Amino acid sequence: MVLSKFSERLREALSQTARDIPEQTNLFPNIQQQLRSEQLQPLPRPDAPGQKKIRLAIAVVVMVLLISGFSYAVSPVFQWFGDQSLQAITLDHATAINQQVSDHGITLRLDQAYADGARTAVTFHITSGSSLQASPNDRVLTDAAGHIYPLLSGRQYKNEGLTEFLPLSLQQLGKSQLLTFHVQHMWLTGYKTHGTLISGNWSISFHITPQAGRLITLTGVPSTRSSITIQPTQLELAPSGLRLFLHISGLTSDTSLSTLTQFATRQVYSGTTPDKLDTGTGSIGEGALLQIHLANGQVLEPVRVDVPSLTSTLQIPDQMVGITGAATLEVLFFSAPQELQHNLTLTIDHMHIAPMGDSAHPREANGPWTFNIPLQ
Amino acid sequence: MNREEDETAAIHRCQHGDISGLEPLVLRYQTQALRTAYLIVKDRQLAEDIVQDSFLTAYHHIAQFDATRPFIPWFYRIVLNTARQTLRARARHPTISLHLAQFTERAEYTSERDELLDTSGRYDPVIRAEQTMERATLLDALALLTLKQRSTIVLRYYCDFNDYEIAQMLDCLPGTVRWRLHSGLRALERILRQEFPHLVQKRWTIKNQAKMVALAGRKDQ
Repeated sequence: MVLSKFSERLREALSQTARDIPEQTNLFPNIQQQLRSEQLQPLPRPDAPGQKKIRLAIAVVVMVLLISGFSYAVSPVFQWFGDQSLQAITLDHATAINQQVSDHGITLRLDQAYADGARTAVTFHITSGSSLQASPNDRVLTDAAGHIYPLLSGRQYKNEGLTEFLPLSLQQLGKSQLLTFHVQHMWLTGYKTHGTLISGNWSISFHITPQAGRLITLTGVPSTRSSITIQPTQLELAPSGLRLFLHISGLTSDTSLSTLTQFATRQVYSGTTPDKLDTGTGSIGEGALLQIHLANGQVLEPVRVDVPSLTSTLQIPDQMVGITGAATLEVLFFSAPQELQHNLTLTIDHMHIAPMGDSAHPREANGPWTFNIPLQ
Repeated sequence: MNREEDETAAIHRCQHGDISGLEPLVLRYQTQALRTAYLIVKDRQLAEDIVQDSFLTAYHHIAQFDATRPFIPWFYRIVLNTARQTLRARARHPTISLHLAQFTERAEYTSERDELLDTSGRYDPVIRAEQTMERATLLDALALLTLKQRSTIVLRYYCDFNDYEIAQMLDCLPGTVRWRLHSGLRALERILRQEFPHLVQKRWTIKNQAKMVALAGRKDQ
């Protein structure tokens, strides 16, 4: 609500500011003079005979070389839509899948996949067999044991897209895993038409060995503020990011687990399609500040904060902390390994706490909680 | 002939090498283009140079333009590219000036423009100073955004283009337009709230009004 009032005032302010330029300004005399003086200059020499044909031949050769080079490249979708760490790591470590399934005339093909301790990412290709464009309405990743990995992000341009899911468990890293990509509903959309939702079953199973990173067990002193004690317990340094586990205690048994995850999050993606369109996008979540400060001054904000027991099944939207008065948070950051040197500093400025059933009105437990995390 | 037919005829004349065909296009679009460029580059003279160059570029490339399509998105794409290239060449680093004295100087500079009168018909220096300061600080705050965010915000909230039109002008996806608007507005609100809280809160206090009147009075002496 605040943002829409702000944008109304902005519209008004822009309009008023723009009136610094009066309507009486007339550029045409200068433009006309410039064009006339250009017309008086000598014309450029025409091509010598045969030069045009030579230039065309060179252009054709260059195009053939470019196309043949392109066909050997890694799936470009990781380069269009991935964040910088994913773009870098998938150049060498993406796994080819090349499997497809069709239902209701819509064909889903999985092209490549990549997995590590920070995420599992899959590129796909969808065709509808008509002029309508198909896109998945829902996507889920499951493993052989039936664990569900919820969607982290999804982007699509024309028929190609990239989907990211929450990462596999630490115990699964470095070993071959059988994963299944499921879609149960597809949107069919056309130019200037409303979409149609098609129910079906598009499931593709594939094997992948998630890249293992470096797991650091953290043994630092816990910190207590406002009766809440926080202790970082593990840090996974994955090739495409970080996964941090926090143990929170001192909570009442009726505390809502989902409210504990209300931290500011930020996902930003950049890239360019083959036809030179900027694909930059992102999302920002509101909440308390939980940040990792690097030695070079860079600050990492989380991409996602979850309670692992809630994300392992999509059926339960919330739970109470219970008699232990404790919970574990899993925090994901996207970063390149070369950015992580020496020690990290973790800061949490406050937390949101609410009883189960009243999560719309959380109270703030003030911090800050600050931790020095050695990487050696 | 209606407006669209006039425009199509003017474009055809340009495509046949008739410079005078450019005049109706310049007269029709120059003010809006100038104001758009001004909001993006924060400098009136620079905005004039950019728009002038853009009309020249449009004339030189008019043969490539499909006259059955609307002129404005194509022309604004040229304006935005020219603005980007110009700013890159100049490598400006905008700063926010926080001193009230600068705002009163600007109030003096704008005295040749419209007078702002209160309901009794008298010149009201408080309203004048508030509006002038708001304009100056808005331009400064906009200048702190990235060029992509700034351009997207101006194209949406000043020019009223939709996501698809803006995506065409900026060579990006409509989703990218929405992201730039979202992140740009948040950044702008944060800048204004931090540096100029009165612009995002409701009303000036009586204390602020008295201060501005006193400053305006001193300048007039």
